[in-house]
Amino acid sequence: MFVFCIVGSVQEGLNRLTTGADADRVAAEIDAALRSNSVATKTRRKGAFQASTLSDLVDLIGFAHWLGFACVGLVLSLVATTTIMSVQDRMKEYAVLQTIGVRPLRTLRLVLAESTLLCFFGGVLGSALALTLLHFGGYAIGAEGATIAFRPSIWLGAYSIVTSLAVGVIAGIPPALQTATMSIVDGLRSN
Amino acid sequence: MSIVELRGVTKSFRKGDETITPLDNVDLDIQQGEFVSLMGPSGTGKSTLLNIVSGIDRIESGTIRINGQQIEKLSRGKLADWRAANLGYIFQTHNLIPVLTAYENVELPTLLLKLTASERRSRVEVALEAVGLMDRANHYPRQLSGGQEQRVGIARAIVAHPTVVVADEPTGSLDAETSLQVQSLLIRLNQELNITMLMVTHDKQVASIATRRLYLDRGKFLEANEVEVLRD
Repeated sequence: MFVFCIVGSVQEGLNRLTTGADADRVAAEIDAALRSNSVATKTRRKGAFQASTLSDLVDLIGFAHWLGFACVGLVLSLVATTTIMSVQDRMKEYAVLQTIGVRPLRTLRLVLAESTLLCFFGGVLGSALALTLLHFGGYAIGAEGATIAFRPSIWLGAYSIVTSLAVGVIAGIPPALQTATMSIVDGLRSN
Repeated sequence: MSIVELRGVTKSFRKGDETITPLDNVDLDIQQGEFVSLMGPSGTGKSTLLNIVSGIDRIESGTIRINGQQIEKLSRGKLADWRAANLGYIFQTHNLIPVLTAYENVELPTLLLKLTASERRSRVEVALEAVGLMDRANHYPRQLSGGQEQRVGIARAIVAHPTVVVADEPTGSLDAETSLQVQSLLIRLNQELNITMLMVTHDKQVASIATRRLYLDRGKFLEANEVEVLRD
């Protein structure tokens, strides 16, 4: 018996065999019969099909993982650019602070603290929003009886916040070094 | 003993293929309570001299002693500490921190000193009172006029009771009337609080408020008769 389920352009057929039938031979016959069809078939045992589907799912999750890292990288570069621009805009302020006696190391800490706090609060807000969406959205991907549900957890939240903090520190290092090592005279001349 | 003592100070830098020497073997002495104005054409080293006395620029050779302390070889961190305790800087464009109130801007230098909260409050109030802005203490820079901002800048420069106050064209960005107010404030601070001042200006009238006037040209101080020749 063939049951065709049309999902977009993907067609899946399920062939129920009688007891004692040679599954591999039947699969080969089906593929041979449908070879002249518009799309050739690839018939396998159900277990092999499920294993292949799960493997695809694992690959998909792996890809999503890398996509996540790419997003973190993108956010890192955005935060770094924003912090650098913000510091560039206020180079004169940092020069004024150093003129009145603030140590260069303290301006370095100021810039680092600003970048870290911005990322921390942004991370907390973003993580809270994402976890809430996950909690109420009930998102999951599944195929052939295997379902992977995206569930929020304390660890996921903690991981996100720690990542935000790390992004803040890393993004803040170049502008912080810039303010700590700049010439005060040049800083005072900047607009 | 001089409060400010410069000996054989030379400063030069490269601009393209050219070596510019804004200060060439300069000597300078400023006594306690003196009000010195520094004039000269643009690019002759007035601001460079001011920056060197302030410890925000380095020299190639010579010595700088402020109140007996040699500062030209101090590290950046130590120079910052020295500035916090000994220097008041009045900028041409006040350079207040826009997110801080007038009170907080004036309080900034005192946060770098070992003072109690009540000592800090007292000093800030005295400084704001001295520039006549106690009633504007909680205003942000954007809520103040140009003259008021400059007076807050002056209060910030004197609040730490510095050894010397330097002023880089303090009236340069003000209208005539406000400029006169700031000038009389500077005179009063010098006379009443005995603050030693070094002021750079382009304006002969502003320079005339000082007790001693110096003229810098091509890296050297000119004698009074040479200045007269130039003026003629």
